Amino acid sequence: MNEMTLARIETPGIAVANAKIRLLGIEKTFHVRGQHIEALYPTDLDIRRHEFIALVGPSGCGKSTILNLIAGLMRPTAGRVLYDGQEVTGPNRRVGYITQKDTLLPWRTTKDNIRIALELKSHAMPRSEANDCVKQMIELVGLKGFENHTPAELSGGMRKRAAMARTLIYEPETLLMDEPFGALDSQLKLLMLDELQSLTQHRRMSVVFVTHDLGEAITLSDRIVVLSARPGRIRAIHDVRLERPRDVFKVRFTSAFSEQHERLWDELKDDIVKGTDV
Amino acid sequence: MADAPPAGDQTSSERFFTTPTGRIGSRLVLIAIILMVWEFAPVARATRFWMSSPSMILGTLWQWIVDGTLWGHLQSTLIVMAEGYAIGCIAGIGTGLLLGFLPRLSRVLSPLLAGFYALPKIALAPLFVILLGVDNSSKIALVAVTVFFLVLTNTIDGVREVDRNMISALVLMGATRTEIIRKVLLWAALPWIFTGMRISVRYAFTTTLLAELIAANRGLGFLIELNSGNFNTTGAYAAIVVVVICSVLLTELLSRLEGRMSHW
Repeated sequence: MNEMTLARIETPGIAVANAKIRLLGIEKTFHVRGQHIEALYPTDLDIRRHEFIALVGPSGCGKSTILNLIAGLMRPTAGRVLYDGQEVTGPNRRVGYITQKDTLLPWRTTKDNIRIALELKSHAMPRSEANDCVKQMIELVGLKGFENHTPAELSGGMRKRAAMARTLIYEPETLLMDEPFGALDSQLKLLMLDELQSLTQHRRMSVVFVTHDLGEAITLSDRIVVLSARPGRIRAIHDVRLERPRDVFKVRFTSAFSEQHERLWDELKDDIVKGTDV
Repeated sequence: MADAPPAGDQTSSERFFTTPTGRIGSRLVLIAIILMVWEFAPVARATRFWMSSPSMILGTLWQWIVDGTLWGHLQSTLIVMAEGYAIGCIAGIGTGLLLGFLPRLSRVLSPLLAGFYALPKIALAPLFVILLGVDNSSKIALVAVTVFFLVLTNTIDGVREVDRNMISALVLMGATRTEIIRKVLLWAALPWIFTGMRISVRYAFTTTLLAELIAANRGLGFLIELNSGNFNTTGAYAAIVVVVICSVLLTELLSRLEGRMSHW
């Protein structure tokens, strides 16, 4: 039933007609205490409209850097980032970015944090309507009963979920996620993966998803980009040809899934060993 | 009695001084002894002109209260202090937020600000008298300038400490500059702003008194200066007693407010 083909390596840099985001020869070098650290080798990547794409690779391979470049929070040392055909030169307001470290406002309660986007002029909404949205979101991410807690009173996993709800609530057309489920226990993680899948499919979002968890990547993605250890470069791009909607609770037990997992793991394991001692 | 340590091998007199009643009682006794010595000791009686005496001071205070002298001066001091404080706080917070949000302007101005911050503001007092006259406005200006720099530096520090990622998150959501100031910077800087405001209360009081000592025709500082000028030490002591009472009340008020402030 779940048919999946073998991994296919695309030639980088080939224009895709409906590319939402194009990374053209982007390079990033950091200067830390007089040291040059090359985070990203010249990299080309096209991310299609409505695509769910996962970036996997060892730590320090520039996964987060790619997200920061797409969000326009960083400028590439060389190369260009195109979003809808236009170069990203500053903060990219078309994307919602869920960072690895949550950026909830510590003085706001959970529900006020989740509502913040709807208080801004750019997403303005009548207060009662906004409160309804917040209520829905809180239920969606399983934070019912914690509406009036401040971030300091929430657990790490709860903060992650609040941060996600805060971004999902204004339905950005593109979602950038940096290991959003790292701190969650496995049952909750599956529930959230399920929600994320239906939400992004339903609202036709494009998603760039950074993760360490290959299972997560296979469960959710259309394509998986494997990056090599620092300086990061694209090692391979795997197509995941599992039918949608996927049953996140069961797909892990199919043979197609484990084959894909094995192939990805083979690709990654040398680098992960190399990456950890960096 | 909650804070009394377990009795153990302490003698009963040691235990007495560790109970609240014992502590307060012993303080009162100590003050009473000092006042008695001041009032009745032969040395003190011989130096009455310089040292005055508790009963004479109380008498003067009573007279001031009855004929209304005290209220006029007290009111003048408190008004100068409050107005200067309010102006200084508002200007300091506003400028601080602005500079916090315009880092380039802040870099240009920071050496100038540092210079003014280090300057003892009281040095400006004579200048303000020339510019604004002997009445309240020169003193208010001096207090405002003092408070301004204290609140300003604290606000700038507060804004600088804000997690930049919080700001980027809101920028990506499409927040405007004003929205970022209103929803992030102001709140994040609030604990620092409060600290600045708390410290400045005492500076505002001190500066008001100093300004009144230098040039004034009203206020508690003026009262001290006037009486000392007339070699009326009793009057000077009486005015100082009022100042002490004011500072104690102010400190008490501040610590109460602080206790109430919520922490996140």
